[in-house]
Amino acid sequence: MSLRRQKLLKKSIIYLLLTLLSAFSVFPFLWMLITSFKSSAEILAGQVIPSRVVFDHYEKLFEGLFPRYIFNTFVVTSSTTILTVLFALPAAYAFSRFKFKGKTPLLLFTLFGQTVPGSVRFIPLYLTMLALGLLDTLTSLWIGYLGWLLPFSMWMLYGFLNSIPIELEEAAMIDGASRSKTMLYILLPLCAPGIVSVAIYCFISAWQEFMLANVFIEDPSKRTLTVGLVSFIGQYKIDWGQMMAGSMVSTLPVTIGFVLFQRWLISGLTQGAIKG
Amino acid sequence: MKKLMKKLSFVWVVLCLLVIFVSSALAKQEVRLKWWVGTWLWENGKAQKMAEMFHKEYPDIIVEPIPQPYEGYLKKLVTVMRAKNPPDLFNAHVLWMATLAPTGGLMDVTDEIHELGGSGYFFNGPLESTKFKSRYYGFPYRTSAEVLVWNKNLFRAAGLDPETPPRTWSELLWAAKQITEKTGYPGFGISCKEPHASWEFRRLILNFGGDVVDDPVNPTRATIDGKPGILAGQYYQNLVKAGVLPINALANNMDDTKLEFTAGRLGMFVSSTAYFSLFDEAGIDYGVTLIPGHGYGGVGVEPTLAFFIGVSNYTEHKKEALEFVNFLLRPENNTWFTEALPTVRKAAKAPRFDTPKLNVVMQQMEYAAPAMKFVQRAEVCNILEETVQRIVLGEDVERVLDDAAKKIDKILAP
Amino acid sequence: MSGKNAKLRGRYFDALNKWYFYSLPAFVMIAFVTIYPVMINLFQSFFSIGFDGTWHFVGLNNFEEIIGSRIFYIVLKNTLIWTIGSVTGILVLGTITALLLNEDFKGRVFFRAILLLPWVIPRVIAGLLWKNMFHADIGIINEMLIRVGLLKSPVAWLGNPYIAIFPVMLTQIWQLYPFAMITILAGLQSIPQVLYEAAAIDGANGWQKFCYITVPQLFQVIRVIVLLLFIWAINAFDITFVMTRGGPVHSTELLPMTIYLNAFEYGKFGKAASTAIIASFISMVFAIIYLKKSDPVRE
Repeated sequence: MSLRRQKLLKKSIIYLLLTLLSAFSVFPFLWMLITSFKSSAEILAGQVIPSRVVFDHYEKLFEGLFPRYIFNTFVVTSSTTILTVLFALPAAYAFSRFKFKGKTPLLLFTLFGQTVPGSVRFIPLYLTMLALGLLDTLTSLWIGYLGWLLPFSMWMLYGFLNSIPIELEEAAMIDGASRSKTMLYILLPLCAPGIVSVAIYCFISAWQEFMLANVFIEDPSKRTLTVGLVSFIGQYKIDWGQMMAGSMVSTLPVTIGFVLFQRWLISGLTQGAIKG
Repeated sequence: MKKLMKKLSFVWVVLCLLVIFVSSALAKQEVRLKWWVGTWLWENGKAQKMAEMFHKEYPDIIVEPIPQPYEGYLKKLVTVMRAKNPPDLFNAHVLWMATLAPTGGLMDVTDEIHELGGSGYFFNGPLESTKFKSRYYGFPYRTSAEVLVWNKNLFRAAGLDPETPPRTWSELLWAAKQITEKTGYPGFGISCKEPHASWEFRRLILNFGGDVVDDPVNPTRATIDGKPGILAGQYYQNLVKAGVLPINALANNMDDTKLEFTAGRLGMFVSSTAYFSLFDEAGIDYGVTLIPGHGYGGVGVEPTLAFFIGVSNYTEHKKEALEFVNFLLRPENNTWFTEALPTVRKAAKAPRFDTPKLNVVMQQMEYAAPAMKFVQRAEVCNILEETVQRIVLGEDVERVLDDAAKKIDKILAP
Repeated sequence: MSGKNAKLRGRYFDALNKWYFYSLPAFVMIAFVTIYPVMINLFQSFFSIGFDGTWHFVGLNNFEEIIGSRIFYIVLKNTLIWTIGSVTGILVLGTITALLLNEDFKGRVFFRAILLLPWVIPRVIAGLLWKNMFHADIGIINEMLIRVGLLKSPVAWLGNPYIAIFPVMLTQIWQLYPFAMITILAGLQSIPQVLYEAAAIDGANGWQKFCYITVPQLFQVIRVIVLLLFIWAINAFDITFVMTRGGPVHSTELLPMTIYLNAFEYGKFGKAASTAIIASFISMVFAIIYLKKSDPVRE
């Protein structure tokens, strides 16, 4: 088969598989989308295709505190992400590039906290925040998230850094570069995709976290998006219309934001390599 | 580029921190009472309206209704109670009384209840349900009973008279069979998942003259393996054999069953009054009747369902909180505030409760039995859930009930 | 072999006292948020604690009760199936997707965005969505399968104790495979282009390039996230709770569910703590074996 035909075949397989996978990932969202435009009566009656398009749910969303929730969530999630990466990266670097005793036990210790299921860590954490007077503040959230996300972020960055051969840095240091310069101009660009993936992990985990956000925050004006969405689940009925509309509003912009952000960040980090 | 980005992220972080600290520094003044309201009430704006009306009468007190999502509400309440930091006022389901009262977070309001007039003021059933170990820990404000609903269209399609619902459990089984055979849709729905599985099964046992434990308030041993329990278990298995249950039965709680009913694909089930508005919205032609009884013409017994408003035991504003509760429980306010039926006797006389359907509900409330109210209630209910599931799966009824009795005895042992 | 390298080693060694400088902030935060809860948890597991908050020392009693209960073994079995199933599913889908997205083609950005979607919605809502879809009587999965002819009569996906765990696993995989996808993709993208070019110059074809360059890197990344996925699988709660609440006769009950029931419904905080210790123990055993064998710790 000619090279051109090979490439074409390859491309079609790629598109086919990706479409199948996307269908799998996305078809519940299609249902979500349709439901968000269906009237409540039709949702209850179990009608699949709405007879008319209804904007009530979106209107109600924006009349309420929903936009505020988006802002709160965005603030908490961004700070969490930035701080987590800022703290985790040097720590991962230390583990990867330094030689010292007790590395394995320390790593295990870091992971140990995470292996204890959330339900039991919960009340003591609440008591801690209570004692510090941080309850009902967004601060308590990003502190809680930071402690929760750091171990795994460190672990992932550690893995990424390990996969980058140390020879490049050694070469640079032999040439007289300082450690920090090496780290910034050689290491960083190489593990840029890794850092970005960890940032995405932090962002999404913080974004959709429910339990801490529900219990630590009381004031509705400080509430986060996830709590807002879940509050449409009542004891006797689920407000599907609003919940789906809210889900649409909260997931699509984030995803679009990611894609743009990801490109920008990677290009930003790798630019350094070219200069250095 | 690198340095710029570093600077930017630093600035961003500082900004975020500033925003957060500033927003959290908003101070609070005056007597402010925090009132946790479940979102199922909040949606109608009633809680906010109540707070406003109260503030007009008592200008020094501000009640802040704070909506709580239902999902995770129990977890949240338990957490704040254990941390000795509950809100001044909060609404909750009486089923949670046994879980919340022992934490010491609920204020003992026995005296206040007596002041209001005790059972002369409140209906008996809901009032008793807020008791825990002979003391009252909350004020009931909303109550209802579950009743049998049936889909008139499906009745017609099955050749049954749409105005004559079944009056006994055996009639019900027969009617359900007709519906399934003639329309292909399940005739009767039951819950096999908590929090309703245990409730419904216990209801059936009560209807056959027995109970799960010897005393719903101070149990010492299980009685679920007695004759009534066996009859109830056999009835469930008869339902399974007749093929009238929804296919999803083992994964259904009352909410899932309700979904089938609003989709017009279920013949009958015992429903909460809170669902009536949903049936109306979905356009279902339905009827409401008393729960079937044991013998012909008898009426089924139903444990009391209610919601209460509790006061924090650690509140700094006891007097103000109680004033608000009193305000809420004035007959005219109780009439308006509740979604289902009021708990104040005078309030129930209001015309808005005089609809045929609600009259049936009020009638059903006369046949109320006390709900289980002891500390180990939740554990016993989870055992009941497992029992129901095993019975529906076809295991030998006597053996399953025997197992359940043993486990319950173990839990109840001091 | 000495001269330059000695200088380098020297630089590494006298920077020894600086490793904690880099990792201090991280450890402080982790300790702050984790130590107190974990220590308390450890203590609580030896006590019986009721709702009224009083602690009674019971030694190993909690552990005995748990290990002596029939349900515990069902839960362990479920955990085994769940962990192997969901981790494998997530890795397989994540790897395939990452490999596909690593290729250069139009619309790559678009696919990358929408494949991320399942991960972004709150777990509770994802659980509810799929629960509704798997509803045996009114859910669309049965409806579609019957219409297409693959099924003759509706299947009780969540109502059948023998199969209930599978729809729940599917939901978990659906929600989490984007994580694997993103991370593996990042790993693939870290492979310097020069390696491929050099291999091409040496005469390697596509398949060989894949086997000798891509696959090792793939394994590297997967090794990193397998541990995480494993720990998450053991601690999975929300989706099982929302979809089946432990499933017909405990068939979808996992350890975190038992913990939740004990802590927030039964009021048995001591027992909840002990169950948590057991769950943690299982994770730690895996972590230790894993770290010893696969040795990502650089010496």
